[in-house]
Amino acid sequence: MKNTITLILLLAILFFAIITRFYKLGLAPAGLYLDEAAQGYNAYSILLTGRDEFGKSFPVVFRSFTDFKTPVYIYLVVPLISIFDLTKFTVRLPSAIFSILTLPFFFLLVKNLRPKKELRYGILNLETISALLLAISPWHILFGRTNFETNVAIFFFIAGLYFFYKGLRKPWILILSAVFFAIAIPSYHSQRIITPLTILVLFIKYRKILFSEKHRKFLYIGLLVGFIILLPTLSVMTTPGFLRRASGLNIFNQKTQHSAGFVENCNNTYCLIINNPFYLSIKEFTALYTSYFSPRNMFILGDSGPRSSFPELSTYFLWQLPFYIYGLWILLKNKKLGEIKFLTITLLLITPIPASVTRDPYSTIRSQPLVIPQIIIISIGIIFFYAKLKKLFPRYKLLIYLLVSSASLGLIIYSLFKLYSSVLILNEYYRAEYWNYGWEEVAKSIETIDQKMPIVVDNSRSEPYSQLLFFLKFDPGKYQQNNFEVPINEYYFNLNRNKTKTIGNIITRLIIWGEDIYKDQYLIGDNLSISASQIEEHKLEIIKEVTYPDGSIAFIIVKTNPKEKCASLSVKPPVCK
Amino acid sequence: MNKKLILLTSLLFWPYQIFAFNNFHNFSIYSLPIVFLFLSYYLHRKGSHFFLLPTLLIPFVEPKLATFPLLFMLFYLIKHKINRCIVLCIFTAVIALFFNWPSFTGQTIFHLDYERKQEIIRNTKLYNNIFLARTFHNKPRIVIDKFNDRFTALIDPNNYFFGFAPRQISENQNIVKYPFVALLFFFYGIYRIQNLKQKDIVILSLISGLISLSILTVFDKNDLILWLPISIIIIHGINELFAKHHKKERNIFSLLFWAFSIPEIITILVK
Repeated sequence: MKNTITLILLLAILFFAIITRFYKLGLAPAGLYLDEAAQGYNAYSILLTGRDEFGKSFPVVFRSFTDFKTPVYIYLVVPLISIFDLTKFTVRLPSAIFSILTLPFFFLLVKNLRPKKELRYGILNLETISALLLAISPWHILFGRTNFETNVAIFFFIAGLYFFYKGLRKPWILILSAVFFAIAIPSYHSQRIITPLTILVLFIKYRKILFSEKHRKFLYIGLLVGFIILLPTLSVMTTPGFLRRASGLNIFNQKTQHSAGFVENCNNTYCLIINNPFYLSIKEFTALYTSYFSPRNMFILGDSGPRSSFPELSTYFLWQLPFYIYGLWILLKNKKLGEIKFLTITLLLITPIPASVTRDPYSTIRSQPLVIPQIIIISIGIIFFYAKLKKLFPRYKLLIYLLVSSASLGLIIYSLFKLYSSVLILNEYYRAEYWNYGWEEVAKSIETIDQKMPIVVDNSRSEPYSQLLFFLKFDPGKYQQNNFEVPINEYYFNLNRNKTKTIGNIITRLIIWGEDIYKDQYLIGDNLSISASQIEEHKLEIIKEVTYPDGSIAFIIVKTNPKEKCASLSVKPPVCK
Repeated sequence: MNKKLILLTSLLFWPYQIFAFNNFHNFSIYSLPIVFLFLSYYLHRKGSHFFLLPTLLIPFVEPKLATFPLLFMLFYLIKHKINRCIVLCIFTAVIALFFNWPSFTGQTIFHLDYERKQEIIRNTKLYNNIFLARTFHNKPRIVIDKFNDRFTALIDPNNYFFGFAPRQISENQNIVKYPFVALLFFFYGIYRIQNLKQKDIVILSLISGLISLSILTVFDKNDLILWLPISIIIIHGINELFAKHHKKERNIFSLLFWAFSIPEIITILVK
């Protein structure tokens, strides 16, 4: 009977997970952010030509906007394009799939680590509650609905952990663990720190078992297999391209920016102390690190980035706050929680480190693995709260059970509707611009206008070329031929960028108002680059206005009228003659 | 001696910053409630039944904290039996609140917020289902959201040890209230709170302070009333850490404390 109920609960959890991630996948967010488009198009290029947009054959990290994107997600998209075509749904599909696949591994990991007699009351147990909370977690859902690598990385990391613990009992499984950990590392930038640190801690704790006669052989095989998988990554790890993200964003790099708290124009002797880079860096790191445990950030503010959060929704639901505080207290005080306590505290301390080394406050994408230990803590809080209630009112067990069940159901329904409200209504209305909404409509319009005329797309405030390539499904071979950035042998070394891109008759560059209006062509830009006064002054013809859901103008497509422009001028420039 | 210096340094940070960043008149308004609260702590420690009385004076020096004594007494009732003294104190606290009502009410989150109301009307129109719209966008939500914002800001450790960095608040001086290394003493003090003799009154004043500050539009500087309970927790953490059987940890933490606090002290003095 208990097993049946548990199975029903698990199916319900999977159902919630599928609904929250797959409903309108590809349609909400309606726009396609430039990084998403770039990843999708590079996958398309790999599929058709075996090379990325710059002509590099099967890169280890993808140059893209010289941000050197991690490769695993892009290679996962490649086979899906051959099935589903190059669409927004396809490029976001791996996120959704791996987000859901994480749940059974997370459930099994928690189940295996939980002490058998602790953290369970009937069907209410830590693994079921944790899996449920992860299934409806705003943090996990956001990156499960969009093309961000972090969710895929978490899957490999959690699977690696699960197989590691399994491997302590059945040694051959250590090889599987090594495989998953080795794939996790190149899956996302922060995993380059989280996975090795976690492995180191586990290695130190279980070194006696790992080096025992039974396990040694499989440990060595696992290390070898992991090393082979990581070889491509290791081959480029000292290149400027691989280190680009780490060097550009980290707070210890004083060349680009001083640390927070630096006192400018300070010339006295004490300035050596108060502006000491070591002191300021440590202080800034500590402030950033502790902010990942701040209830204010977790339950109210969320991530300040418009694409890393949903409107009016933080990383956790507010109703989880008291359980988080209580769960944290129990975790620290209770000595009977066994291995789940050790792993939770380890992950809690390690996972915010990569994010804390970068300047962005409370970056949810870089710290996303933190969702795992924090969900466990909230679940511990819920279970102990239920146990406390039963202890305080022993005569009303059935009533408490009914009340808690009703309240839980009510909270789940409320949370699902809250997700619906924020993800599908408010996000579409308020954040369309941040998701680069409108380029799909622009691409559709481009296909209907005169293909012989040149088109200039303004790139002063964005990088639209990846979205145009994506939505036009432009031939990657032709694109590689007509665009040069750096020689292929300098792919990982040369950080120069060429922002001007040629896509057939389209060129993305700045609009040069002194020249472009005197040529027969189309101009495309946002309402700042092509304003109403410029349209009037230069006799431009509006072909289409693409608007955001709130009615404001996203992009304008105009056609130049050189003859009319020249006729309107009293003093005609040489080009008019 | 080292321990006493560490204690003194940690505790004087916040009051000194308030003194340095404000004029004397304002400083006395912000610090007098602590004097009354301290008196309350002292009487409680001496076992006096009248320890609640000094808190009744708080609304008269700072009307914004008019709800503090009332909450303090009501929370006290949760674990203690009601008696005539408490009834009289609560009655007096209610009178004090009403006496200060005109100055108090305009500075709370219950005050009309026209902009937020317009936002609610705008958001409601985005939904096809009016029930769903009203569930998530309604006038009580304005007050609830504001309370939650302030409450979580007040329980944010970064508020006290980093001046809200890296996410500072507008309408707030964002001052660092304790040296950031004292974070370790604070969390250790909470971890060992069962050993703290005055934990009841500390928790009582902390919760009363958090709630009475969370209903204010701007709690900046008035949150100095939390200095006493938080400082006691830090002192407790230092005492526990500096206990005889923790010699190694003592030396490490002393070194860390001075290495990172001296630059902070100099920065404050210079500014």
